[in-house]
Amino acid sequence: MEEKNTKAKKKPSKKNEFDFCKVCRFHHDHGPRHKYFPRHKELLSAFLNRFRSKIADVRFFLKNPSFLRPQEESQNRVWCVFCDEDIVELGSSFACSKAINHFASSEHHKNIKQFLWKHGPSMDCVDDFKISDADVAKWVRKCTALGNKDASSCTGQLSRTSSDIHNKFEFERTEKETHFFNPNYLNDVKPLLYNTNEYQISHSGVTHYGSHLNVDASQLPPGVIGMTSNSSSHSGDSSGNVHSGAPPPWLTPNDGNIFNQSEITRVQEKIPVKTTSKLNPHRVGAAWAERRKIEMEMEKRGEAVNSNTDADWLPNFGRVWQSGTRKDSRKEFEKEKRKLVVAAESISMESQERKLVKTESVSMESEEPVQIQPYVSKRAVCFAFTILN
Amino acid sequence: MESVLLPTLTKKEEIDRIINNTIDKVLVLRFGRISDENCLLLDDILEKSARDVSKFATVALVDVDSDQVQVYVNYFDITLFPSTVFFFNAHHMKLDSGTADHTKWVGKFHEKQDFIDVVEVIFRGAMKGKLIVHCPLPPERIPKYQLLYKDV
Repeated sequence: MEEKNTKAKKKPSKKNEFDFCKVCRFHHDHGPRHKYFPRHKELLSAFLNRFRSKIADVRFFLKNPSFLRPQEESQNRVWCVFCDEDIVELGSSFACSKAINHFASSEHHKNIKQFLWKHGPSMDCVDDFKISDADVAKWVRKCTALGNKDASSCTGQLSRTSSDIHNKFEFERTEKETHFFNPNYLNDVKPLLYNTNEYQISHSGVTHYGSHLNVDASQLPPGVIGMTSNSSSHSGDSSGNVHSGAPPPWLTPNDGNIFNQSEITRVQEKIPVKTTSKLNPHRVGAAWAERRKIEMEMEKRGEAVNSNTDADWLPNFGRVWQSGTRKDSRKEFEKEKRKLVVAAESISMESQERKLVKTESVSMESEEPVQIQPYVSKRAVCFAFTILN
Repeated sequence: MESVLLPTLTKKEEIDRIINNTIDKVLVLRFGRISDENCLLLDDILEKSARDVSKFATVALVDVDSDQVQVYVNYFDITLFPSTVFFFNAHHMKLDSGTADHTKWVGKFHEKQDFIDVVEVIFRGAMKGKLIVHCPLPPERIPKYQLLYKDV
């Protein structure tokens, strides 16, 4: 009976289907219990904090509505992670208006709840990611008020943009936006008031986009981050620039230039080319391979290389019937070779002598009968000669 | 089917050159003669697999009947044909295949994959600094022969 109960209690473990976790960015078959894993919880908190910062930016514009310029529409965009859609402010007149409307929508609320139900352990942070209708109503009122105020000045701004967009309009925009710089919002994340590149280009004296752009740092409004301009030294150069079509300074012929082409080539030739390879330095014949690569490169360049490959060169080989190191086996082989050579030479000498004797005997027989004489060595002849003397 | 004509070496200088110019790759030298049947079978397998192993091995054939090559035939103690000797960075690589001679592979390969496996094992061992490697083939695929010491 107990066995039956235990068997009944033991449910067969269900194999869950593979599912993709948007937070952890990987596939798993843990099922619904995945959201309680500590790693998932950590990643989820980081994930939600990142989105919180984005919503904080949007909340800034919720409390302080401002006009959205047409050229900045494409840059003012937010990706909603709950709805998986990109909110682009195309055709909107106020900054983050579409984002504000989206975050206040019921569909967004529904998606937040769904996301937290699936991924998050608790549902108490839903309000952090949505904008209430009351806030939206306040924002709309502020926008209408702002619209009425600047109805007249807007047209003036628009006309100025066409004539002097780099200089004067930038100043007026920065002046307006400094009013919004409220110390109460110091703790919040501030959105970029202007794009970094545009600001640097328009407010630095180094780059030359025409004469009307040289601006000193003293003219900058106080709320803006101070940037030192270096207009004095470079503005005096009359050698031309990219726009005038002048050659770059490193290509102009200069007598005082240290780095002449001939000197560079000389220096490069002196420096040995080290081929840095990713291969194992402990592989077989690594040192030999590196040396050989350098030699081959020198040969390619046409330099003379001391070649070690003589006619008698032999590779490193461990022979079958020899014991000891490969060097010993090579030395042994070279000894054997020398012996063979000597033996071969002696055999060839003897065979040559025999041939000579045969040829002489043949020739003598044809002409005269051969006179057989005993062999007398040169030493014996010399010895006899010395004795006689 | 592509047929790659493997270089046939007949001079000692040619063998020296190919040994010295093969860097960071296994050099496979087949010593044999064209008139031998086993040699022809081995050459067929070498030609077919030369391209597959081209990234880590170079294959060359040595004609044993040439006079200038006899010094290598004696140095490598080649008495049976065909014999295949392996080099890596001008260093001789030994192969322990359970036979009496670890310095070379004597005979032909059963199939292309056997040759590729042997060359791969040699390359892997050489890259790790090993001068002798174990043959990955089963004993039934390794040709059997008897080594005679000075015809004894």
